[in-house]
Amino acid sequence: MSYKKLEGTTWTPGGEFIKIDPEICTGCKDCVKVCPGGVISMVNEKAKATKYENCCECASCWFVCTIGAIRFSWPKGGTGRKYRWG
Amino acid sequence: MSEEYDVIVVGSAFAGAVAAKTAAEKGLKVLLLERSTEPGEKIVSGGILTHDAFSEPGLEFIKEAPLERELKGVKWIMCNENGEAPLDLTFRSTDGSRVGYTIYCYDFCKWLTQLAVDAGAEFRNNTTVVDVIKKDGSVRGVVTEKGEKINSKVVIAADGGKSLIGIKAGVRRKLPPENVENCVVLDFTIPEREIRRLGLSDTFEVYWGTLTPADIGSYVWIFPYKESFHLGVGALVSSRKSPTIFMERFLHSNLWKDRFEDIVKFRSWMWNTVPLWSALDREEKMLEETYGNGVLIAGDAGGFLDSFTCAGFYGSMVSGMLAGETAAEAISKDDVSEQGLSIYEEKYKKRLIWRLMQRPWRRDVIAGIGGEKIIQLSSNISNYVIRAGFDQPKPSDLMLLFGGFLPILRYIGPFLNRKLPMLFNELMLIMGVAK
Repeated sequence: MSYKKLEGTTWTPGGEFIKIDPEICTGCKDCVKVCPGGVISMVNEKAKATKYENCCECASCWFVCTIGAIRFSWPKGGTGRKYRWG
Repeated sequence: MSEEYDVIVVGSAFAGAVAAKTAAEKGLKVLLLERSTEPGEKIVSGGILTHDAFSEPGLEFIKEAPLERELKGVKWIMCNENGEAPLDLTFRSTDGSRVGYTIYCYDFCKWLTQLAVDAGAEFRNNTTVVDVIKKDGSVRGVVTEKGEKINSKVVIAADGGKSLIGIKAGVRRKLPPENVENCVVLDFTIPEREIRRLGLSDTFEVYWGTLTPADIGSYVWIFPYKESFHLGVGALVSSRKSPTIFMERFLHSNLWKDRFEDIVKFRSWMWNTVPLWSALDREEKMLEETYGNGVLIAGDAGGFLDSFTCAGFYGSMVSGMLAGETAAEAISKDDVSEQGLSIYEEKYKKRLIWRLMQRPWRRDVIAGIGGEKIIQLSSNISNYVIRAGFDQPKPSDLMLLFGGFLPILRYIGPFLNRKLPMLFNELMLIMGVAK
């Protein structure tokens, strides 16, 4: 079983709300490991949020990054992940 | 110049909607802001609205809420890393007054928000708050993503465990990864008769053992709804592991395949983080306060949850109600300073939620040294029973196994349940679903 389109889970694009500062990012990959959706990938040995369509806005990446390279905000109002049976 | 409100509530879920309802009932001009289109559709829940909420003075109105299934007991299933589980223990409430109801956040929060609107609060959806307005060191309103500034005397941040607004207001900080658990939850439909056949009609299940290693600080759970159920597992963010690893492991085990795979319909996959402990532990100095000049923090944002189970519905609603009351009292006395709002703390310390917030942290109970032993023991017993090839241990077998302590419990568990309701209550205390 993998992540896929389901009647109880919808998503609409809401902008790039996970900003990772490449100057601060050490490339430790912790954010890649904790993300259940595989949203973050490594680009030139620095983390970058790419697959927003898999993001559930849990902010695990922001929590795990204690050096402050990740700035997390919310997607635009009315967008992003929605659950009918949460 | 934007319109001035008495109170702006950020987030229209369990805490925010109740805060807005309470403040509006006290005659205040209230604006309730929600970043999503419908309230509750951003929330992932694993759990139960505990009976605590129904007996809390002031929350009587929730008797009318859209509830799903009443649960009266818990089944502990001991399993090894392969998901083999020959042993389980069921503990059931003897007087029917324990545990609580499963609820769907979408249905429940929509209903709560309607109550706030009926009480006179103005509700605005699709609105993400990005900052607070500060004047002379006091919060005086919010800024939306469109740059709109809305003034108010008090802001109630009910914006969930991440509480970006609580942080912007300077009242709390971001939690460290040790104190955040990411929970992946799957929702399935299942015919009612199958729920009964599987023994889930009034019992939720918890899977203990090395299927979920101690460092993730969690376990697999199943919460039955009317004709559906939630299957979930969490992982501490500090473990640097995604909980989906353990969900996949469970779904590939016979625990899933034999009992559920052929009879369920998969309809939602979701995850979200929960704050794992009381935010109010002053010694830890992680989050100093639940209030500041012109601002109150309610719900998960303020750490109002049971420190062990992370059950937050009750704590959110009671803290929302008290935040609404506090705002009304402080505004009527014309003092919305930190000093004026400090009655909030006096109020919640008198409620049951304060005791639940003092409970041992799940992180220390499960991910600690003791937890590792318990999980290993549970797994060892499972493996032993599998090797020995029996379902029900015979008395002679019991002597071989840690003095037979846990299998004996299985033998005498039903007897103890009948004779000693106290045992159930003690267990419920440990599980965190009773007073």
